Amino acid sequence: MKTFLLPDLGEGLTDSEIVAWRVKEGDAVELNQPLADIETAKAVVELPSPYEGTIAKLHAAEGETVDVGAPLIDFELAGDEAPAPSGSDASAEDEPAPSPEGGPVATPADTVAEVRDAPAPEEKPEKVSVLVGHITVHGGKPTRKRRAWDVEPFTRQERPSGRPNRAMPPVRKLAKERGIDLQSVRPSGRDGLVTRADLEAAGTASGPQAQPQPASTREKVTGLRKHTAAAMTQSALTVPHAATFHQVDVTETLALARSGDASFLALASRAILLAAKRWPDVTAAFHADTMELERFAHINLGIAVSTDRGLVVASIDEAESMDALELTAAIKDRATRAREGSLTMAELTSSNITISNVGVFGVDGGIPILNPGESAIIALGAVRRMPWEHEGEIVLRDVCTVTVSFDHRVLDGREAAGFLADIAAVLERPALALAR
Amino acid sequence: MSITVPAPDPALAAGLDCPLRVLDLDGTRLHDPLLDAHLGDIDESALADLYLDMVRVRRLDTEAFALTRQGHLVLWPPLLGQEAAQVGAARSLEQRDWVFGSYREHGFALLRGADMAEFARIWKAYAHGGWDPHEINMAPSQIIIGAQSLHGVGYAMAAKMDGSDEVALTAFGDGATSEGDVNEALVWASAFQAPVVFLCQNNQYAISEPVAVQSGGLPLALRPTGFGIPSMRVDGNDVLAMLAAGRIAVERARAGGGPTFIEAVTYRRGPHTTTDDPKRYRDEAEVEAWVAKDPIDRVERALERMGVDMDPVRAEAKVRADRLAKEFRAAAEHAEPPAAEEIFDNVYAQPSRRLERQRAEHLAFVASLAEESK
Repeated sequence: MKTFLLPDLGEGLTDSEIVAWRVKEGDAVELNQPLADIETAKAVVELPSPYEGTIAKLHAAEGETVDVGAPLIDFELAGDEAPAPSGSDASAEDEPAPSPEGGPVATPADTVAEVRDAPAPEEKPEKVSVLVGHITVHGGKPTRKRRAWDVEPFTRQERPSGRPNRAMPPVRKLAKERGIDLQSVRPSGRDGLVTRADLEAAGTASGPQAQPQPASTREKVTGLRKHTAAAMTQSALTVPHAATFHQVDVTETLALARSGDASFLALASRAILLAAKRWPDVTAAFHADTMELERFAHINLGIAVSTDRGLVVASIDEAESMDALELTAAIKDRATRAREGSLTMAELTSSNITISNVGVFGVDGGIPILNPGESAIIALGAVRRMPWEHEGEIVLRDVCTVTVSFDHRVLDGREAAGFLADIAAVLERPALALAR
Repeated sequence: MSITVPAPDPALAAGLDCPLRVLDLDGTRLHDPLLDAHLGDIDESALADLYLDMVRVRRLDTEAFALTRQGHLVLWPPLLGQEAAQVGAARSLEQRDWVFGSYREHGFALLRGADMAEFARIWKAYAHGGWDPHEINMAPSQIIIGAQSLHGVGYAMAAKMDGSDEVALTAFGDGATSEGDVNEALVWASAFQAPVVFLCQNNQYAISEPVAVQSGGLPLALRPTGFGIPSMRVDGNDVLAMLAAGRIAVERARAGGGPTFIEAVTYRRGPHTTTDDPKRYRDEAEVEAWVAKDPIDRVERALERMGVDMDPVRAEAKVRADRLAKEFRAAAEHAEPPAAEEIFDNVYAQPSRRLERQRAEHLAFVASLAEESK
């Protein structure tokens, strides 16, 4: 009996799925006869039989995922009382001899003798080296060595002052296995190196024990999260924020979005742009250092986009000159490129008013913090069907809460409310936009 | 402004319109004045030898592929479909000539006489080079795409400086022609009129990129003419055409005529390597169309047309191929990993003091582990 263990069929794979068996238990098979279709992370491949013999047992059903190194097939080999690995099991005698002018082919007798002396590969852990990664199979359980890109969240550990202890890789491995913190060990080696003996001493002193689960972990804040933290802190601490809300019947705008190619967000943006033209200070910038108010010739509409890496505000420059279809395309473009990380620095910094569509998260609204340097930010809540007074009746209408946060140094409640009321007027009666 | 592609110099390129071919798909012997002049000695027995070579090369390839699926080798770049391109070219060389190939040159390795046990160790990731290059006059498999073309040209330049009549053949794929190395090699070969043969096996795909993406829709054989290097575009699935083209190029080089470029138009029927899924980038019908142009079937039909009884030839081919497969399988299954300190052995021809010290430190470290674990 030979048990065939599932090999690594790609480079550095840990498991594969059995798509289909081409044989069943009891079938006689030849060497290299296709036995199964197996799907790895990279491809569906054929598994050729490693032996000539009979299928004694299939260890996995179709659709099952098998770990690399786990038993896959048991083979009953011819003359099973003296099993030998394939390739050397058939004797050379029962084949016709090649003609004398045969090329540079080694004599079969030598090959077979060498092979018989070699230990059978199944008797020891099967070690399969691959180009990237590295798999060692012990008792059918693969353990993949870590690769450089298998990053773990950073966990800060309290370190004694001075230089951290160091150790050779095998010693570090042993320390990890025994749950001993290298930094808690007194190093005796050259240059403050922790040795195996130091670990033994530490192990007998305190007894081997697993490291306790920490009550909390700390992670280094980097990248976009760090940037957002700095921007929000600056904005929240230096700008006197105020906010105003309004519940808006957006039934007509929503119907317009559903009947045409312009998105609801683009139509809402049009409403904001029209209102911003009537209240130009909503796009102004307050410079506290010089006590100046900077007004811009164009409205650069920032779109807040939530990405895997964090929140970014992507600007649609001179948005006031775009119609709803152009805005639809521009919003889609900015969102796509924000997620790809391909926005330019200019696009990430040039906005002078921002719209945040928090409604996509299912909430009615909130008080957004201003994007630094801007005087207004509009949050669109989720659109809900709710009972609403409409032409003297109570009917179900599509209602959305719109919030404006503003810099109270630039705008007062009158301007902010006027701005918001104008946005609401267009959203409630989009045809109004034609008249303006 | 309009730019037109200049017509190729007919004196520099042959077969641009239709790859040169002397064996038709049904085995008919076609006549080509350029190639025929170099095939005068090929009788039935010589053609049968080429057939045996191709069957053995294919068997080695399919066995290695299966061994990779069975976990005995870690990677294999298959050559299925390219047997004629390699066998024809390899058989145009003398043993004193040198081959500088890519990682897919298994046919060259076998026919040059590489030790199959050592060869298996490469693909089990137990050896970096495998065979001794000086024993078989073939450099180790080159993984860096196209780098071997510079090595081949360098060797050829040195041979010329030494006044030897050795020829270097460098083999690479269609994708390699986009590499800087291959273009630099063409410049140097042309400038120094190096005795080198550039064998480009155009197997139609640079991993997943079809050749048209990188060729501008022009035959690759046109490219070397821009370097002043004559070229031939040959049916790479026609072993006789490949043999004749190889002989033309080798004879030119040996006689001081300088470099020649051969584009063998062929097809890689398998994946790029055992970890690739070609169904994601090409149509099965395309593969089927190339199965019909199989290089081995074509020779079988040609031999039958010559009146050869194929049964004993096939039987002989099977015995030799099975023996080779068995030898290779045994070597692959039983290869043992090298000792870690071997990493110090093949860096310099002569050991340096620094390396010897590192080696001693490594051995002492390993020994200390053994002692501590007692």
